[in-house]
Amino acid sequence: MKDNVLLRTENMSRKYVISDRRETEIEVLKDINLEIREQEFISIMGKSGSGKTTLLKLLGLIDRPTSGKLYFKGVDSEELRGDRLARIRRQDMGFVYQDYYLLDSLSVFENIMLPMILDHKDDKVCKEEAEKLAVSFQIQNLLGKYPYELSGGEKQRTAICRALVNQPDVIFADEPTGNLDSRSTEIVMDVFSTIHSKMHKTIIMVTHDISVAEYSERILYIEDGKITEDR
Amino acid sequence: MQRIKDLRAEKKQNNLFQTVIWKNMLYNRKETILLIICEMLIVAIAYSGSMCYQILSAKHSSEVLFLQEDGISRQFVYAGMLLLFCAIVLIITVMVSYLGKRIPQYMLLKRMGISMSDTRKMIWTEAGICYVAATFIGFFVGKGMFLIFRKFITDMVGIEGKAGSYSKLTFPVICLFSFGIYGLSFLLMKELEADFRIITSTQESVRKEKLTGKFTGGKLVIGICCCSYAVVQYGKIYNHESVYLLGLFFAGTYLILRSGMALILSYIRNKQERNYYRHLLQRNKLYYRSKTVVRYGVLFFILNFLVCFYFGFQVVSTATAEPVSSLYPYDFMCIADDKDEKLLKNLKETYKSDIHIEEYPMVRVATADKIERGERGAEQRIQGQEIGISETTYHRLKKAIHKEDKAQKMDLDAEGKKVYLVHQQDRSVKAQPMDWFYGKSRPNLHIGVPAAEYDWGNKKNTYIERVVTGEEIGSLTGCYSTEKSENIVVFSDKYFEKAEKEWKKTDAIWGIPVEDAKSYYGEATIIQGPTKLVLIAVKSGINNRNKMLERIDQLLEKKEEAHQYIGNYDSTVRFHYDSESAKADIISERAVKILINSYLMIMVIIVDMIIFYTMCQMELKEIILRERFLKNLGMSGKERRKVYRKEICFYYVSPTCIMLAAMVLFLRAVLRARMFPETIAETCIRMEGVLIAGVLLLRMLYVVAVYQVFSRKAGMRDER
Repeated sequence: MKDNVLLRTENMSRKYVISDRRETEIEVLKDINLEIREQEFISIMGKSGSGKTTLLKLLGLIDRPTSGKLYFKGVDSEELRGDRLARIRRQDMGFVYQDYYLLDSLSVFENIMLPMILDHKDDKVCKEEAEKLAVSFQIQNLLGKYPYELSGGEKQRTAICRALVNQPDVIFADEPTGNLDSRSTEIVMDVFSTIHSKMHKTIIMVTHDISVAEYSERILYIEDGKITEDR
Repeated sequence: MQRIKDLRAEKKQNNLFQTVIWKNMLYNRKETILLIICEMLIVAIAYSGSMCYQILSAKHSSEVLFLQEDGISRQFVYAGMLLLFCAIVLIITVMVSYLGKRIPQYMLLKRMGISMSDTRKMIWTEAGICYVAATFIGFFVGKGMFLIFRKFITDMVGIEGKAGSYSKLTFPVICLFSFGIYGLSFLLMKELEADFRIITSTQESVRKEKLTGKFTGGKLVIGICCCSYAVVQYGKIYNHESVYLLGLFFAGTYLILRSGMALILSYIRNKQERNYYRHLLQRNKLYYRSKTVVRYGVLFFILNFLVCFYFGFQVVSTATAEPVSSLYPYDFMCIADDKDEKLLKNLKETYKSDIHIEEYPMVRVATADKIERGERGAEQRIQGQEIGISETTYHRLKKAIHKEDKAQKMDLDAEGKKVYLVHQQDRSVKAQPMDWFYGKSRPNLHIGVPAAEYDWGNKKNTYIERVVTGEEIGSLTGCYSTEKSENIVVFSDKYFEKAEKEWKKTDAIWGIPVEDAKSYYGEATIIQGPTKLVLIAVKSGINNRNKMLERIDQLLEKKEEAHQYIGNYDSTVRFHYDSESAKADIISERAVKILINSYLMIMVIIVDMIIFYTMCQMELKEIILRERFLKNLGMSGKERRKVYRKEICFYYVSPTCIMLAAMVLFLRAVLRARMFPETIAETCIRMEGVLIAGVLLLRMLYVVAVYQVFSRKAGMRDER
């Protein structure tokens, strides 16, 4: 339901310590207060070095805040560790990266199935779901190929299928069109729109491209680690 | 509830998960094969080595118990420890490269939510496949190596048909041993990663390394001092060619190379602009990766130095050692006393002119500790027992074996403070001091049997410091007791007369004057100890010579117990020694020495090659990026290859130059320490030269091959 809060932050900050002689501290995110509801399509925009990828990593539970709180489905992220966290990543979240991060050792089919394999789903179920998604995103003829044989757009669609195969609640996308040409960008963003409108998934996407951000229904602007605008 | 669901799910057989593991392994097969080769080498060398030990030790007189202080087992343990160290370094190096490639994949899977148990399953499956494959191949390779070495050893030692056998449990034990090394290496690597990020740092494309730090000039001076001190001390006989001195030399070399290079490059950058910019690309790596470059350079130097000098010289010195028969001018040596008059008379009457018996006056001389030990403490030290003789006796002994008497004037004194030493050992043995505990350069000696209960804090009354006026290495009476005991201490004739009567005035247990012992402890123990050095030679060419030797040996053996003056204090020190078993021991020990050091040389050469390859592999990503960058800037292929070639050659040229310089210094030092005669020294130097040339040629060919392979991988041959 759209009214349910999926992610909530309270004065969330993230600092990094650079290990030179003086042990310099850099505050990448400062006091972020944010609520993300289910079925929202959010873009996070900002200049290079503004902290948008760091924010995405924190929301995706890949990184931990140095101060403040983050709640996922009402549960404090500090309580989410080990196998419990791994299960959430497998079942409730999907990730799409700028560099695709497909395993070159596995075929397209196997890459798509991977989250279900890690979730110990039945082999037959894995194959059926993967095929279904591949057909939906028109890459069914690429299933036997390997990532190095694909174009950028095909790789990204494969990555999106992989992110969706376990029916997660939220998709995190870090510059998903950053390495694509305009035609492929359009295709991929149409895919995201479909995921949002027809599959009712929450999508949180980082981008620096305003034309891409306009596919979303809410845009957050970050500057120097702070949210300056939320529209 | 969820946890139970998870556990049920994990128990399901998921064929696709096995497919993922298998395909990942196949994709990284080059690294996997490298890891298997490293593990296989360890299994093969340990397996063949232990089989060789078993067949050889059957013929060695001291191999009753393993880890006996004398004999072959000591050398195997020593070699085993070095092998263990090399094995761990090798596996860690290869694992760093292997995991460096695998970690991005593991991280991706972690982000996708792989559970801990699945991660462990994945890692254990990969590790298990590598281990099983390595062990399986290692069995056959080890067997092959053993057969080759057995042929070599039996030809050299001549023990065909008389060699011992090896246990069927050898291989299972070796499997456990290699599993232990594998596990230990993995644990150490985890520690290193936690502290130094050795794996994850290889993922970073740019590493910042300072060219110069503080006190660079000071560090250079310290490095030079360390190296000089190490070389000078290595040439002293009493330092026992200490491995710590070598370690000091290596540390000094690192400081010299790091600081020296930093100063030179800084000078060029600041003061010689033209030179700097002309070679900007060729020397770029030296500037921004100076620490890593120096570390690898020193590591390759150390490995090649170990091959050519530390292990190589042992092989060379053993190969050029004196013929065994020349070390034993007599068939028997007896440490006799006045009670043995009857025995000697008996022998003379029984064998008449078939044997020749010489008797010389002697005293027992004890040293505080005969063995180099790492730890000190309450553990009782085993004192060394040497043969004390007069100057006249020394000259007589020399004359008796027709040896050139170089030491005409020994400068010995009437108080017994100055002594002359004869280390009875052969050239293949490291030079060593007589006294390990108190004074290596000035031995502390006690006249009489070992005073087992002497007061360590009051040694000046018991173990008196002596000044060594001269020493030689060679055999006057026979090299028995593996060079730790029965060496010769020469006193002046005047002092010797006093020393012969010393036993009457000294308590044998406490080592103090008899009156003091009576007043402190109520009684004194007086033991005369040995008084005669008896040398027996059976004439050659007589009938039944071997039977005669056996009978004499049996006769002397019966008197062993009667000559244990203070109980079985040291089982290696005996009343009589026979040359036949000593010769057999030395032959097998020399064979083992050559075998072990050859093994170690081969192992270290392979380690060097693997580390070199792994280093190139780890840098490949950076090289490819740079290659693309330089190509786009318009640099010609020839120029780009030249830059890479110079970088790779640095790891050949600089370790080679340092090694050659170090070889000259250390060879000189060790030949001096072991007192090699000139002709033998020349032979050794020639053989070393051949060995060094061979190693350098092999290394050069390998470096060229690696350069060809990696320049191709980096796309330097492709001009499109």
